[in-house]
Amino acid sequence: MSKETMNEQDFNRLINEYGTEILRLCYLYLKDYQLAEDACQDTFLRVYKKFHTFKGNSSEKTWITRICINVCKNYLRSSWLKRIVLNDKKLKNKKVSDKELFDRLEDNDLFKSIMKLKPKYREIILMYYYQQFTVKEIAEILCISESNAYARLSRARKELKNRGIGEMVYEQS
Amino acid sequence: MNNLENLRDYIDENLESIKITDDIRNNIIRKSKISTYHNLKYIAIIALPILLILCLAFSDPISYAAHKVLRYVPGINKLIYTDVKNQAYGLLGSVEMLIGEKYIKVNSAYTEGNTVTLIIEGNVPLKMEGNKGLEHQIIAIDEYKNVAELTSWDMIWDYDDYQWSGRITYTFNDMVKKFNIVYDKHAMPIVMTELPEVSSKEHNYISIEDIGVDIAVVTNYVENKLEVNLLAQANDSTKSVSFPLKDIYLLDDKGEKYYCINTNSGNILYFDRKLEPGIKLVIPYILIEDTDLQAKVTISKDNELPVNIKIGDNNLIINSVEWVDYIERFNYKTPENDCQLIEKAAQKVKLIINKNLSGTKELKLYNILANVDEKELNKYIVEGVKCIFVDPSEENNSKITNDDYKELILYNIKEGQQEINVTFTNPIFYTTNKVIIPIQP
Repeated sequence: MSKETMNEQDFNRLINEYGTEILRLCYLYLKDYQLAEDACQDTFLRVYKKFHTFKGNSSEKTWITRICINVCKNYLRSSWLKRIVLNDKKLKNKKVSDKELFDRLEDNDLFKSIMKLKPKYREIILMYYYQQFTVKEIAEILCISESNAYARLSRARKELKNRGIGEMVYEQS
Repeated sequence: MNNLENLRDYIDENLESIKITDDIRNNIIRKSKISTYHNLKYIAIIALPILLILCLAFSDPISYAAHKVLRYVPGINKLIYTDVKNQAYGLLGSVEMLIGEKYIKVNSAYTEGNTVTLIIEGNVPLKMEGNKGLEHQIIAIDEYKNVAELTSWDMIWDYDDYQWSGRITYTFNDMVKKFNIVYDKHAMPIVMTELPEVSSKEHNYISIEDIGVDIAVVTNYVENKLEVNLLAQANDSTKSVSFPLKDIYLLDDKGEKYYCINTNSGNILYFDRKLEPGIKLVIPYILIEDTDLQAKVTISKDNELPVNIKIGDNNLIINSVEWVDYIERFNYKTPENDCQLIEKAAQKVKLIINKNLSGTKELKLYNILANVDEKELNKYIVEGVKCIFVDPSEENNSKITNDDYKELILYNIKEGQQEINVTFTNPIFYTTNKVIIPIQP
């Protein structure tokens, strides 16, 4: 794929390959399907517009995830957007509410504990175990050093362990 | 799930219903396509106030463009009143009518109030002699059967391969969006639409008013190749127009250039390219020879420089004059095939002429003939006949260069001649600006 421009075929491939995972990541971040869908769309629009800046130093997935996380953080900071989306008629048509869906997810103690972690610990756990990035990739996405990422992951695990949940799994480099 | 290693499977199972659907994908694709439009909005935020001021400050030349742009801004129509009668309508593509093996094609049509200007071409016979003028041969009739008045026309004919092209303006009783062009018993409906953007009003025909030249482009496909026939007409019969055929190119809206793959002896070029919206023909320069212009100048060894030569409305400037003594060697063969050599002391005068003309910036000098008075040239006796030797290399084979000067050398001037009378004739000028002609597919 050209590093300068992106044609529709390439763009479709990126959406097919990473779309669902990005949408689910948005959902886990925002806990609101409508917001997640909007954030997912915004993520891919930014990917489309900024593709010429993608140097290929990291993987596509790393680069897209970094954009996605920034979009989600911006959404969380924007209460205005929340109010707009809450009035969206699509929400009323949704068969399963976000609360029901999350209740189902949080039926599991481990997942519930993850979601109750501090945001920066929750984020790194999701990246490492759900998106299965390496520590090096996580460091790139979060723009922190590798040792910092490793320390943060260790603390997140420790936090979970302190809550009596999960096992200590160490990074295999 | 009781192990972090199973987190991925756990989330994917429970969020199975959350996935990229066709709706979401189509939404993203659609938004990506209009993102360019959104980027333009930021430019518009800066440009619109400037356009608005320009629109209010200046009159007609920019108001058409400004109105076309500004009307897309919500509410702006309330600020700037646009008379419906001044709304511009035009053709989005060419319209052709076949009459046997002949044709008439309208490449452009656009309104200005109740007038409609057509760029029209064809090869059906048009007789311009006698009392049957053009207004009786190509007739415009509105939908209520009212015949429009032919207000003005310019036509270019190619009589060798009968073909014509021109610009005709009709005045209707009222503003029209559709009308018929009638030739003989044949009618061709012309339906115009509101121009979607600030676009070229005229296609396939251009008037270069500064130099009084009209150029028409007639296109056709021949054996899968695009044939482009250039017709030109100067408003003065003493002027003739020619083109640098190999330097002409097609320019598409992506900025790609396409040079012709072949030319014929006339002004016909062949391109390996199909016409598409937005394509233009670019003529880097055109050559105009004026056979009527001449100027007589005395050039002496005592001349003060520069020497000004008034030629037509313009001034040529000779910046440098250099007299050089040399031996003229003249070879010729007798009828018995014996080679003979004549040697004679002679002078040559090297003139450096500025290509820029003092009266115009649109034209520069390409070439000019200079003839020295016969009495001031060496004469030779060849086979008992007095003759003047003319150096065959004297014929100038000029090319456009970035050089601002042209060198002209006058040979075979008598030894000891202190001045010469030179007649400059047949100047050829070239245009300094490109000629760009939008072509209708």
